[in-house]
Amino acid sequence: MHRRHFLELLAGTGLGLGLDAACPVQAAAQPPKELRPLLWITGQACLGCTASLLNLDGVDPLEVLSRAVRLAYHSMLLPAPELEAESGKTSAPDQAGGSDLRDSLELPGPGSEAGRQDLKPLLELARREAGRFVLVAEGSAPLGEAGRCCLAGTADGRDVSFVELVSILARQAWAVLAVGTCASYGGAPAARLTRTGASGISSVLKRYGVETPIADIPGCPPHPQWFLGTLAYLLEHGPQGLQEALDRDGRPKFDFHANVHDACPLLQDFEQDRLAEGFAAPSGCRYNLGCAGPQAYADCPARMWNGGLNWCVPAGVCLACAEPVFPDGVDLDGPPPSRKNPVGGEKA
Amino acid sequence: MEALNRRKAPVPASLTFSGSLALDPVPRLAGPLRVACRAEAGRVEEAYAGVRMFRDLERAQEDRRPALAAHLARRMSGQSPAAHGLVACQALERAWAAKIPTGARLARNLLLALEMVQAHLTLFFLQDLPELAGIEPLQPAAPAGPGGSLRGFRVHAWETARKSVAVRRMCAEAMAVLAGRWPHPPGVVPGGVGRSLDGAGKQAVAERLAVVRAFVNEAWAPLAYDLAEVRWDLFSVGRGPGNFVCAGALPMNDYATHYHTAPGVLLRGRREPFRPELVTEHSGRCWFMDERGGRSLGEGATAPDAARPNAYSFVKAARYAGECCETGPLARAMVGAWKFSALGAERLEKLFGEKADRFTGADDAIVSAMGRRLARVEESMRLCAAMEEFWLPQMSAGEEVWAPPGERPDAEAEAWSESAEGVVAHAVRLEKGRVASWQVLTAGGFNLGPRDHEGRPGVLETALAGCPVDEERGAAVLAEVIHSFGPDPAAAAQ
Repeated sequence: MHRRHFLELLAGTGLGLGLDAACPVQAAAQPPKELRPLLWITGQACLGCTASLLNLDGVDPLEVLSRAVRLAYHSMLLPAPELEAESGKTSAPDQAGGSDLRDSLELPGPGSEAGRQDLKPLLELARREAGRFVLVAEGSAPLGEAGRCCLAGTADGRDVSFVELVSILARQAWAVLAVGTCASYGGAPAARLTRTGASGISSVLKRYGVETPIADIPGCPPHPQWFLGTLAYLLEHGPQGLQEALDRDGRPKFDFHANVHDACPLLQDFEQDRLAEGFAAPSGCRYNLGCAGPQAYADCPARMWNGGLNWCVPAGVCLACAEPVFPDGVDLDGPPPSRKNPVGGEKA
Repeated sequence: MEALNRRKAPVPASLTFSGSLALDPVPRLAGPLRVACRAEAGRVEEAYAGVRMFRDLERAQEDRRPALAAHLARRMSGQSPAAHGLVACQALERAWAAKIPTGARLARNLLLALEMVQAHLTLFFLQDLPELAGIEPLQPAAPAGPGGSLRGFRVHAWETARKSVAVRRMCAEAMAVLAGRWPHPPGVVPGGVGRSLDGAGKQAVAERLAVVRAFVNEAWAPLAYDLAEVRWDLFSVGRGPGNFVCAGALPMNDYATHYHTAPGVLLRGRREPFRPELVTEHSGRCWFMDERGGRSLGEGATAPDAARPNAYSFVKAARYAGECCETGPLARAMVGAWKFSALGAERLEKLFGEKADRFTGADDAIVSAMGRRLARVEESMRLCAAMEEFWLPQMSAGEEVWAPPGERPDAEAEAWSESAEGVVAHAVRLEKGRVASWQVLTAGGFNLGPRDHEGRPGVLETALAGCPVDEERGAAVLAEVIHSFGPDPAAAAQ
């Protein structure tokens, strides 16, 4: 794809509209001659991040996934032509041992039968494209219970946990994008009292000594343009360049540096002690309704959601869903932020 | 009545394959689902369906303030976050004896209906159609098949799928106008919704709704019935248990005496009222410690034991009155005895040579892998009509949509509703102003659940039994049956 075409694609997303000077508008100066494969795997996820990506407006998300990169695998969407070619599409079932499998089927588990449609084609694809592909991981990875709280599938009749799968693929990837707060920091599955050992992907990679560069795109869910902008920056500046653009929480600074409360159109109301009388009140700061805007760093007030039609605060409250502390550290009843002296200001 | 005779769409009997096969993971699903089968002489003898992911989100709710718990409840499902958020709020409102304003009911109906249409579109076009349109039918297209070549049909199917992405986005945008953003809409709060629609907002919803309805009626429905002709063979597979349950959704008045999607059950051929207390969950084959079968939703417990022998799923088996029951669009249609759309009636009559009027007989060919897909499009047509003709016109700009719910520190209640996938219920117990217990049941408990304490298979396991398996296409037809349920394994295992 030509550079101009990619810029045109991105121009339609609002990334090119100067919302933020640090934003990678001039992304993909030198697009790769061949499109990079993108492999999208999901762990302890609700698939809301995928649903959010499909909401991309101004540019067809399928167009991005087939022209900026080549979506070679996604656990929920579309055919995986590459994989179907790999497995010959006519995955003829195993002819052997019809009757004596009854017992093993009573106890489905590792090695109990020949897997037909399994993870092997994905693993082979990753091996073939090693060093080239972008790995996108959605959802947290459960480090407890030997990873058995999320089994991604089987390969050669053996269970492959999501922890194993993400480690194997990340080791071979050109770069890893952890999409959503669960993949970034653990998110809701890692909330207190939970028992699966849910962890963000970067923690898992650290634990298994995988050094592939990784960037977090948090949000529950993330804004589709956060994903697209980060992907564009990665393609333009490479994994190391993207590393340099991350804040201390592993997120791209260009999307996550501004404090939501400071940028909120209702800030004036707060400064003048006008608080909302209830949900559905047309004006008034929503701090008293439990808004966590003062804790949150993201460009939602400027970027808005779903085609720029709305965002969280005018319809409810901000939950600081892109913060590492989400959900446990979200304080819906905390002390009010001080006036004229914003809590956060610029984030390092 | 047996309007649509399933025997008219037979499958060749020349299949000989015997052996085992597994899909692990089943491709293109929202979450990891493993399906393992054993086949004899070209037919599946028995099947096992296991959801192999668990997030412990019920436990994550405990000791939280109800306000934040209501926000987190949406995170149970990325395909049906509004449905989960709404039923969570309804449970809290019931516990607090809170009433919501009429405007809130209308806004919530719009949200839920838009979300259902969104989920149906995503499932049909982005998860399901690529497989269906790309595979040779097990037998040639019905004699009355669509004009032109099969290749022409596939090209058309792909073009329509590409267009569906923008239409599905419109559903999300309309939901964002109503509730802030979608998915995980923050405007779903106890006491109503968090935003009163102004004139411009109402206009924005109306414009998008018009586009969505036009696509559903004029592009999707004809395509779906074309597909029914091309893949005639799918009328003869995936019947399932033939029992149906619907918890009811989309109240037509503020007293919840009349629903757009009526609650009810169709059990062994008999229509009965839906009684939530007859739903039980069984964890005998689950990776959970509690194995006392037959607990009702509110008294359930969920402690993981991922190494438990003889277990194969993180989803508890849900039963109604002890019976295995299907839930989802087809169940809603069967329970409500919906009339087919004019297009549907005409195309089915052409296809089967018999008059098709309503979703009725459990032995009918409509209770099949293809019938579930048609129920999805028929439901979308009904929902679009209700949104455009009832709920949106009834809303007035600046109307009251929220009332303080009057929190009570110690209370408990449960609420039942429907998501795109089927029944969804949340049961909450509050102590000293904090969540003491939060239990969730989703459609997955019915449709994707494993065997129960007596070893009786779940809905999908039943539907897969008898499926033809041939050497050429391998497990493809199994995936087609699985996808017909619109499964959301991620939501099934909270």
